[in-house]
Amino acid sequence: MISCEGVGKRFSRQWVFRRVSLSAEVGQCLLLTGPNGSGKSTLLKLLAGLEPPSEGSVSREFDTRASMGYSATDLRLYPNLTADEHLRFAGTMRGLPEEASALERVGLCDVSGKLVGTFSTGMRARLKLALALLGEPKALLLDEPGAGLDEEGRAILDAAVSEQKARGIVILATNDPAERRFGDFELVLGA
Amino acid sequence: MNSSWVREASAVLRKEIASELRGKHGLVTSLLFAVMTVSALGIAAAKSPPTPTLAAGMLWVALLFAAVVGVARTFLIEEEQGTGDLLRLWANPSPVFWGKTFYNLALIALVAIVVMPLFALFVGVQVVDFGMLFAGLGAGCAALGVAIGFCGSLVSRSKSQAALAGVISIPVLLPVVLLGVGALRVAFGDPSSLGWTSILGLAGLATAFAAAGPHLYAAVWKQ
Repeated sequence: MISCEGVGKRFSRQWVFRRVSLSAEVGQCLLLTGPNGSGKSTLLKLLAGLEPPSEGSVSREFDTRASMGYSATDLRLYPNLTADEHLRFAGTMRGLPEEASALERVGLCDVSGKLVGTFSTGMRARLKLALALLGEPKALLLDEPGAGLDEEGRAILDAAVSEQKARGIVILATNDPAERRFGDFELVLGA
Repeated sequence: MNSSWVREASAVLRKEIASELRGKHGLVTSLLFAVMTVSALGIAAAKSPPTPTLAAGMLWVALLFAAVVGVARTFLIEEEQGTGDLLRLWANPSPVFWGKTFYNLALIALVAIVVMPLFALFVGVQVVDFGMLFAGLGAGCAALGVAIGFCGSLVSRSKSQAALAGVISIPVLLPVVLLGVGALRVAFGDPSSLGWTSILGLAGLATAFAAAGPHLYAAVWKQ
């Protein structure tokens, strides 16, 4: 389970959101929606442990490093490392066994040895998805995961989200109508 | 220190080396800066070779500036290129600190290996105690590498990195340079300096920064 109780986040004196509570359990997909600037991405970062909340608390029943996958449009990859090297680095740092099929799953086998700096936006989004899915995470947190993906990429994303829902938690921050169909619950920020 | 810590620190070190070999930002900048500084010092000292004290100071100026422009980037670049979140998602701060510090030490050692012969050649300094020279450079580079990494890691998540780095680096780097000059003065023939005491001081500083660095880095890790 992943949950937060009365969380808020402010930058300088400006509150992005306040008193947000949510809970997601295995087999559920929670949608975070709302207008631009409502704090969807920030809330996802709080849930991922990338930012501390300014108020309230976040709790997770798993180790974030080994058991949580996270992908976001503003998450940058190392431009001077290859796709393969990213997977090896992530696997070692998160203490996960090597997965030979990780790039195959997102259709990046042919470019495994290429530097990520040469990748298109869509290829980077696919690699980020592969990194998030490493080790079959207990929770998958995705921020606008369809951004930059072509039809094939979207099909891969759909399959990944469906598989993840069957074995764990999915939290999607999105305003894309195509991605909203996965949601079991919806939290509208800025409403 | 367990096997997973060693694996993680090694992975960070490998990542830094692979990025450096492909991007060549830190090494090339450091070496260019060092060679330019030594060349300028050589021209300045062409007609009157410097005293041991002045020569020791000149060599440390070259090493310090070369290290500051190249080594400090190792920690700062994660935030500059926006990969800090990726690292914080996957890693613990301690192996990251040490992986990057080992890389810094290798980089600064390489710079010293290039700079010292060039300095002797261009500036015309006489080395009278090679043991003291190698011990002084070894301990000095270790202290300098760890100290600059210490400063870089502390300011890495600050919004005013440059200003904060300037403020922090003065009290951290000044003792390193003073002790480093003390050791090299003896190596260049000034018997009035306390060579081995300086080297012990450098070793002490390197140890202190190495002990405190990971804890302070962990404190700023998720700020």
